[in-house]
Amino acid sequence: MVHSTIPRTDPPKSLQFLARNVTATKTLPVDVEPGLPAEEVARAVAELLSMPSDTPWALREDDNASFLDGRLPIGEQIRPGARVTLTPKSHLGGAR
Amino acid sequence: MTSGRPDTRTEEGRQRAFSLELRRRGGSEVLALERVLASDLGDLSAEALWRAATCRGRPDLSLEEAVSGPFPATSGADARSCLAFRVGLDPATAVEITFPLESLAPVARRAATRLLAAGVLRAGDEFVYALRLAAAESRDIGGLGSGSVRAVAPVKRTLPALERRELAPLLAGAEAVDAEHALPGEHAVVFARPALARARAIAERGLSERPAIETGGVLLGRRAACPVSGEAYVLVEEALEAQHTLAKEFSLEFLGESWRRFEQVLARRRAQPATATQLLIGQFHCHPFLPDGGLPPCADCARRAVCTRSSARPSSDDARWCRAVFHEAPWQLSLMFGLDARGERRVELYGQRAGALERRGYHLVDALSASVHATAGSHDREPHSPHPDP
Repeated sequence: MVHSTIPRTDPPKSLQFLARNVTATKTLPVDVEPGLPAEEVARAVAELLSMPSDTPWALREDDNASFLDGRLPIGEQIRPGARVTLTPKSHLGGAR
Repeated sequence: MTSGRPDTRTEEGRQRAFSLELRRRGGSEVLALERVLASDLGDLSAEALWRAATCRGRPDLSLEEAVSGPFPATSGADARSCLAFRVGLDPATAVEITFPLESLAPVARRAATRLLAAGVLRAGDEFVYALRLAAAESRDIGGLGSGSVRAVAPVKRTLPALERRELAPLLAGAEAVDAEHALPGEHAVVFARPALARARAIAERGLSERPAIETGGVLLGRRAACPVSGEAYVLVEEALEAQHTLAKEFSLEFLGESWRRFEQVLARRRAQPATATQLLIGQFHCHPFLPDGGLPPCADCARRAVCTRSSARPSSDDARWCRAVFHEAPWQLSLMFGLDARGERRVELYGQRAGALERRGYHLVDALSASVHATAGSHDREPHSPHPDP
């Protein structure tokens, strides 16, 4: 068994980022547990921003425009201080 | 730390919380008591403020400081009024803006969806709802009450300032469109003809695809206030195509790249003094199919000048999407393209009225920027070009 003499660092207990809505009229600094799935975080951020509850929400990182994977921990997908946009995961369209 | 939940209500307002009571039509049993959430009321309180700005010449008021409520409506413009907000800094002079019960239809639909899922209601059942005072609203974060997601500071609201531009000279040379759908006291919408033409070209592109697909984009514009009358109104200046979308015959989804492009264009506009107050003001798209599943025109259609059935109207998906994207933005617009039952192309404009998207009139001008520029008589503005969609 090989051990390092470098002290182990505990994983961070919190992650802070800046969330905003699509039209950028509301912004909110948020602190989360990094292990939470991104979809749970999106739902909670929507509630903190008082956004409609009948919409599926997702978080989109502003730097690369990609949506976070809702099932994966948010801490694995964005860095501290990231800017994310709360975006509806729904579509326009007429009923058949 | 604070919860960060934006609360536009005064102490008086905060003590009043509401629920909707759902019953089967003709039944007496209460099927559900659905709480009216702050997010449900956000659109209405913002609309109350906007209406006060529009009709009462008070574009200076802010949502945080000037709007209180909701309250049960005691008097209103009509007997349907059930909910009211007061707008004004001084209670003695504040105006009461009322809304009908139907403005809470999304809350009722939310409850009905839950009842359907639980088997209490079945598809096709009819239900009725009424407003009830409820216990004070909890401030918990549903499902994440452990504090796993916390706001570090209160929500910060940012809106570009209203442009100060005279309205009368703009309307003097404008073409009124769909004037029969304009309501007295409703804010004016002034559309640049090139923006409408561009939106039409983009939206109807999908009609020529086989099979036809939905295409569209977003509208850029600004909120303005007339320095003479104090009225607030809306200018629509540009139509931006949604690219990198997931477009199908019956749906149009904006993807991450679509949103990023809108944001980049808007950021460039805001960096220019002439367009620094632009914002995302609406959406447009085409429903490239006949209305009512393709039912033939009515028997008396030939005697009518215009077919009354059209697919150029927002669907329930459109309404939900707009409520999410343009939340607390009562100036929002939906420019809808489609076909009528005769197969002829149609375009209709919808705006927010009592929390719902309703057809509305607007004004078309040939060169909005030029006339606006002349009206403003500004010395520090750059000439404003129509900005081809990059």
